[in-house]
This record gives sequence, C-alpha cells and structure tokens, in this order.
Amino acid sequence: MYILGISCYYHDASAALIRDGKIVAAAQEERFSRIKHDMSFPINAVNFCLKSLNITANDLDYIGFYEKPLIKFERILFQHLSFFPLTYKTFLKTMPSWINQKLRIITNIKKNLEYKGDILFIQHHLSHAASCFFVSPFEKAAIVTIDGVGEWTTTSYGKGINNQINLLQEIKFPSSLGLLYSAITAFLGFKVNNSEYKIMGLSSYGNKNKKSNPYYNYLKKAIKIKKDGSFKLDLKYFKFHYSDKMFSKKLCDLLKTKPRNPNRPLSRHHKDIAAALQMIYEDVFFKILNHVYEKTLCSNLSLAGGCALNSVANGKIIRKSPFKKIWIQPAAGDGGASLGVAYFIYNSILNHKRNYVQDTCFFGPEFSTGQVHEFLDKNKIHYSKFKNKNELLKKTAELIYDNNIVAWFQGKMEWGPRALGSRSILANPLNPEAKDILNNKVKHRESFRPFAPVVCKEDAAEYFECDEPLPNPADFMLMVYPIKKKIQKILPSVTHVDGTGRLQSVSRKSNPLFYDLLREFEKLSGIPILINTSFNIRGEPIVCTPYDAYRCMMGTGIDYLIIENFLVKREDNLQDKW
Amino acid sequence: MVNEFKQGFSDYFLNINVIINILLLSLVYLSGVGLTTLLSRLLKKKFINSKTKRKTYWNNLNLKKEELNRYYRQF
Repeated sequence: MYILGISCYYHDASAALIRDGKIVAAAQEERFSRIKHDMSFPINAVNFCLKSLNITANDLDYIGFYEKPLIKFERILFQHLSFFPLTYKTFLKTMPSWINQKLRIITNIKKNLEYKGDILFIQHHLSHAASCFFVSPFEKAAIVTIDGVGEWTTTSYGKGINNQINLLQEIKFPSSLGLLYSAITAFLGFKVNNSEYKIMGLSSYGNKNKKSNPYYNYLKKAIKIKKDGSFKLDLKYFKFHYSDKMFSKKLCDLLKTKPRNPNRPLSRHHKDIAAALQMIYEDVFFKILNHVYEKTLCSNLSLAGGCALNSVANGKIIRKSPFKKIWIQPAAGDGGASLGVAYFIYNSILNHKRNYVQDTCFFGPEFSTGQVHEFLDKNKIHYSKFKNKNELLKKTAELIYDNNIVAWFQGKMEWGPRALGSRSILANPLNPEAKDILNNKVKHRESFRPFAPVVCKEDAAEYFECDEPLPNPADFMLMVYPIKKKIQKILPSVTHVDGTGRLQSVSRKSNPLFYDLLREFEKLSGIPILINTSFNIRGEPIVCTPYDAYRCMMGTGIDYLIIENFLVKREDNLQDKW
Repeated sequence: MVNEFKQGFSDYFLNINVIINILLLSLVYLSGVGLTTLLSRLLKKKFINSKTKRKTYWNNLNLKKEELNRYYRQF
C-alpha cells in the first residue's frame, strides 16, 4: 500500500511517501527548486518520491494533505471580519493565492500529478502529532505539538496509544508561542519563519537572570501565563493578526527600545531581549509539559511542530519535567507534516498496526558512484578516485585534521532542516580558528552563531553533560547540552558562549560511513568529534545534487569535496566556469 | 523587435490584470467583509475569542479518529 503525504502553500512544502507503513522517500521542495523555505506545490519532491519506487501517481492508494484548507480559510476570514478595515492590505495580498491555489488544492493535486484517486485532509496539528508518535519507539506516549498556527490551533496535547491518537486540548489563534517567537525575531531584525533558531542561539549571549534582565519582566506583560501552561498573548503588542507586520509600536514602548535595523550591529540589549524571550518560552514550555504529564500520566513524550526545533529547551526536558523518554520528529516543522498525514492515514484511519520506528533521516535523493563519475567527467572536473572505503576515510580524516574545510556528500539526503552527515561541511573542532575560517571561507553567517559538534554516540557522555541514556533526538541535532568544562577549552569552535553545544550523536547502525570517519579522526586527534555544519551557503537551501555540491564548493572557500568515492580539490579546478 | 513588442504587450496586460484584481478585491472587501463586520458589530458577535478572565486558556479538543468520509472534506 502506497500513501503520499503533501504539505504546501504556507512554508516548507514537502512530500513523503510510505509503503506498507515504512518510509520510502521524503524531501522538501526547497532542495530541488533551490528557493529556501519554498512553499509552492512540491511537484519536484513528489516526482522524486514516485521515481524512487518507479511508480506513478495512480499507483498510490491515497494522497493526504496536511491540513483542512477551509477551516484555515475560515480563520483568515474571521481575522478580516474582526479587524476590518486594518486588514485591507493583507486581504489584497493574500486573497489571490487563496482563490488560485489554496482553495483549489484538490484540482491542483489532480492536475499536477494526473491523479484520479482519493485525497484525504487531516487537521494540521493532528498531522504534526502523527509525525512524532506513529514513527516513535513508544507504544504509548504523551504528545505535544507547538507551532505558529495551523487552522486555529497553535498548541495542542494528547495521548497516543498503539495506532490511535487523541488530542485532548488546544490553545487557539491568536495566542501562539511560535508567533511570539517570530514577533521578537522580527523585532530583532531577523527574518520571520527562517531565523527563529538564530534568536535561540543569540539568547545565550544575553542576561539569563530573570531578576536582573529587565526585558524578561517587560516581555512578560505581553503574555498571560496560567499555572497549567496555557497562555494568552496581549494583542495590543502585536500586529500579525491583521497585517503582515509582526509587532506594534506598543511593543517598542513596552521594551523601551526601537526595533533593530537588520544592517546595524547587535547590542547588549538585543541579546538580553533574546534571552528574555527564550526564558519566557521555557517558562511556558515546561509548565505545558508538567500539565500534560498530569493529564496523561505517560512518561514518554513525543514532540513536533516548529517550536520542537528549540533545541535549547529540548535539552532540558528530562531534567525539568517528569518525562523519562522523549522522541522528536527531525522534520518537526510544517515540512514534516507531510510524513505525519501519510502515517495518520495508514495507522489511524486504515487501522494498520505500527511496524516502523524512524531511527534515521536519510530519505532524500542519492546519486550512485556511476552518476557522480559521469557528472565529473561531463563537466571536465579534475578529481581523484579512492581505491576503497578505508582510503576514503583515512584521507578525509587527514584533510580535516590538517585544518582543511571538507564538504561531505554521501548517500541519501537528509529529511528535515539539519545536515546530519550526508550533505555536511566538516572541520576540525580542535582548531581554535575553525569557526572564523568557516565563517570567512564558506558560511558568511552571523558571528554569534555556534557550529555544532558531531560525536560517536557511545562517547557523548564523556564530552557532554547529557542525559543518560542519550535521548534519540540527539541523533537529529535536536538537543543542546553543556559541554564538560575541561573539554570546552579543547573544543573552542563548537563551544557556545554559555558553554553548551548542539550535539549530534552518531551510531554505527544509523550512519556507518560517517561513524567510521569520526573514529578515523579520533585516531589522529584523540577525540571522536567533528564540526558538522550544513552544506550550503547563507540564504540557500542545503545542496541536493552533485551539481549543487560542486557549485557550492566553487563559489566558496571549501577546500575539498568528498563526493561518494571521489575527491575533488577546489584549487585544481577553474573557478570562473562556476 | 517583435519579441520586445510581445514583452511590452504582455507587461501591459499584466498591469491591467493587477489593477482589475485590486479593484474587484477592494469591492469584495468593502461590500462583503465591511458590511458583515458592521452587522456583526451591531449584533456584538465576536469572531476571535478574546476573553481574558478565564481559569485556563486550554480549550477542549478531543480530536481523534473519525469516520473515513469526514477526511474527504476540507473542513
């Protein structure tokens, strides 16, 4: 049985294909279209999914869409009715896409895919819930979903048992933790629906003392929080409910400062505002988790929704809540909802037993050695070929140890926003200048943002003050933990200003080649840790094809590209051509 | 020359299209949304819940598996 899930028309359009309850292929449209957070109909992602099994759309048993468009449209209309005439500009801006695309989703799916079968629509937060429960290792779990907004729901929780989910309670729009985070992201001069994780990183630089950080108390006036974790935003400080701006002038008055101009440097108070926001987020988040535990009495927690990517808060769950085990969907945002809808149809609606645990995220396109060879030859690229896997590992480890920036392109592309060892840029964490080199040569990103360490799973506790046993979401770079004090000095490039690191753990089972590379690097350096950052340049999606990879290398200061069995040195090739 | 003419012609109609869209949508906004808003304000109907004095902001949802035919609906 084939089921295809689709999410699109808001942000991060994606498609996911499951066969008899197992994930076959899944990818975000942005990787193919090369438009970051592409929201358009994911035709390329769908075609990739179908092609991976050599089937056509009419071989599918069902297509699922990740939300109920008419309920969402009702919410949009109610916003216009509630805030007339302030919504005039937004009405003109958004209505054409509702009329031409969003309300014609059935026609669009059938026309784009030449599909004649059934299309099912599942509520947005139910899709998120399914994405984090049905593929989790838990038979029974409490489920929490938190994001900007779906149809009406912004936060929900419930319980999953075997192949059924029951979402018990919700918090409705306009009260939204995701939108609060986005509003402050905009206030600090960053891009909404894109840079929220940067604010999370920035928060470590701010004052984390609730008493002495004035912005914590200011910002608390914008949100009423109950003991049970339910909350309500004071709408006078925001504009998102009636315009395309996120915050109002009153928020500036409340914070006693002007919004930051994106071109101006970050000041002390910007960092304190980010810290205040993160503290408020965690206040609410842990109150919600405590409330959910009281209501469900499950010690397992499944988490999804865009806010589940807040790895700083995730790293504290075991310590600060009654939950003992956690699982988070690596594509926790809207991109992952396509997987959720497919699983909801298979497990819940069609009542099939669960038969799959998602312990990896490599579901994207892959390119055989032959295909890569053909690409290199066709484009007259100078390269050398490794004789065997051992030579590949040894040479790569040596290059990294010699402080080269190495791009690593192997196997199937990752599902979700993180590069986890298929489309990664690797560097030596022992080099104190690695962060600056990576930023100057390749990433050109904000200097305050840390780089992530990747470590062999069984060694994580030696270097990090992490939960034991290490929760599975650490495999997907979803947990931030303090780095042990004596290690911080050895690994300055991956140690954030507050002494933490967003680690990725790797087991041999989940990614043998990448694991062996870490072990090979350990032979040279004494530590099984590398810097792992996404293989892209600022503002572009992570690379997908050999062409994207080579183009990225030639446009940046990446020294070497290890692509399948081949080694490409940037200096050996003409840069002008690319 | 011919291509430039075609491009200019196409741009011209694109602009006309945008103007007509704005006019029609403005009409719908003022008459449809505007009049309904006026009526709802007279009837004190609230479309977005803004009650502040509540013990909890959680709303009961009880969202679980439903009949298959309900999933064919977009609402």
